[in-house]
Amino acid sequence: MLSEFINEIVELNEDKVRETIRIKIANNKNPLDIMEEVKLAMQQIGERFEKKEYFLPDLIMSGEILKDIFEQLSPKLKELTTAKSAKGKILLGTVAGDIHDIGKNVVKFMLDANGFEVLDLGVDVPADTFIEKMNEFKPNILALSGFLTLAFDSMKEIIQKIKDAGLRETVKIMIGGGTVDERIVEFVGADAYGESAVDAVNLAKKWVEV
Amino acid sequence: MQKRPRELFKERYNRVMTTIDLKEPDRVPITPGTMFYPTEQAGMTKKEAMYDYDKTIEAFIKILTPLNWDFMPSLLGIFPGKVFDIFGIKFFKWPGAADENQRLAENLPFQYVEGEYLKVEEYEELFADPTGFVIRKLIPRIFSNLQGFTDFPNTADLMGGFGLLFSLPLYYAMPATRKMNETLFKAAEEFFRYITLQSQYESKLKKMGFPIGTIGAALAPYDIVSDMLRGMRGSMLDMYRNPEELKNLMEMMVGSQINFIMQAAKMAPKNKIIFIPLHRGADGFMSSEQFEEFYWPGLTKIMEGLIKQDLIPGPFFEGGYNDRLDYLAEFAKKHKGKVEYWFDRTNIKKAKELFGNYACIRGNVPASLLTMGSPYQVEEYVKNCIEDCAEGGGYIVDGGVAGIPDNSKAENVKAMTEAVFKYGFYRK
Repeated sequence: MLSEFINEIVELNEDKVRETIRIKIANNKNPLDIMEEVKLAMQQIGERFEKKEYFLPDLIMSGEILKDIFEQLSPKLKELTTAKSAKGKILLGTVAGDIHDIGKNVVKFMLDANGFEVLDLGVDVPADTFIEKMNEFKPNILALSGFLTLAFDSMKEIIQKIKDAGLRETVKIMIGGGTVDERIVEFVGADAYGESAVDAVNLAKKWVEV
Repeated sequence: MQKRPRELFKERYNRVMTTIDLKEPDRVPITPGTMFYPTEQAGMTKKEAMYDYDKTIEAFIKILTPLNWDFMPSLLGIFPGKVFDIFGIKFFKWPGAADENQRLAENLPFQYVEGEYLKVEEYEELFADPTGFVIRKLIPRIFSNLQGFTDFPNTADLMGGFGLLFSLPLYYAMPATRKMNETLFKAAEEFFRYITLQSQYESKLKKMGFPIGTIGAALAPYDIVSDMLRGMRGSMLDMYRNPEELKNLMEMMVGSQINFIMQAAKMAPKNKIIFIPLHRGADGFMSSEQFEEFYWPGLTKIMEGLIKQDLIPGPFFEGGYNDRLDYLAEFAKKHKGKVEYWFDRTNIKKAKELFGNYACIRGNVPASLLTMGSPYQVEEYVKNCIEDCAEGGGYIVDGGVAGIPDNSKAENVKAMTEAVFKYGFYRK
């Protein structure tokens, strides 16, 4: 049974959430408990997205509500932040030559909501940056995004360079975006492709369980 | 006996029009759109294609006419780089831009930079005085070299008396205004050069027997708001926080889009198909309820406006529209034989079943096949499309993502074309 507060977040009732948070803070509620509820709410939102009840406007709106909650809580949260117990680490970015980011951002949102630790390198990311960050961040999964057909070549080059750097065996690689389909997986040397952010989550879950 | 260009022109043109009219012509038409495919094949960089229009025209003619398509693509898919430079356009990045903030590498295609050019707190100001807001605020935000508009005099000052006598000369004497006027002159010259070459290209093709595809283009009101005014994020938050403002803003676009198209249509009376590339209406972007409330009404108003003017709306449904097929069917049934639906990742067999008797269907050879597949795979794909969709007319072969992707393999484009000539003839 979900609390009313969680429901307000899930229903994207911005004004009510803001009011409730204000009251909770005024009543000295533990911010970590509040964050626990927020986490549950985000999972619910993710589930609604999976069930095609929620779409981009709803995710963006939930992002706004979340931002607002963080802003209100952050003075109290700072001293309490604990280490993340993430399911797995995912390095994400739109590949070199392509500056599209809508799909990538949705994938990041959904992976976050499902408990993965995601490092997003942004757009137009060259192979060398991916490799540098792989060495630092040590991800389990690499997720490459691209909307233009030129992204196929970029993905191929990035994966080749990862092979050359001896890092290919350290990660599973998923690709996705506008024109990507199963034909591209083999061409670029990835492990799988996802049609949607939900596919990305399912792939990630499958890969980290093994 | 070899047909004369004039006959070929008429034959190709009528083949497409008969198809849109939902009757069987002699053969399924093929009318691919292209952007940089011809210039890539001619060994040009994308920067050259955007800056050297003459060379671009040569490439289009040399690479594409041997394929004998029924419509040749217009050049308008490749934007004029010099005009962009002169204006200092901020909402694109492109290869070889003079401004390094907008510059991409020489062989990257131009890409759109979405921004929140209209802030949410400015809705009221915009509605109170749309002209003033657009001139003084919006244009200077979008065009770096049109900063002079910022100080355009207040309308009240221009209503008469000494205010009018003084404020206009003062305004035009300001350095920023002078610079802006130079910019506008240069842009007009360059744009006219570009348009003139476009019409030369058209007449060259006509002499060779080729009609040209779409020249006019429109956008869905929601996409204008999302792409160029509020940004996608802003426009989607408006659905929650400012739905009425969002709808009012979109309503402003409807009349202006139709007027704009009418001007273009007068210049090219034979080009009846109006390209409407759709962005945010695709499956996955918004729910069907949101689509029905915010996206579809503005788009249908524009399409209906075009049909009233005897033009053919050609919406390009980029991405998948499998969740929206009922809406598309409903519109098609009201306007039988008056629309051309161009599909990308939508199941066109299902589309044919649902509304093939009402709307012409175009598409949808996947980008991945054209770029990475084999000629045999491409041929099979086109063959299947023809089997599924050609019966009774109303089907045109094209690529899925805006036609032929830039980096398609030449042998695959050839295979796609040849498949039409091999499997596309109707039995009489």
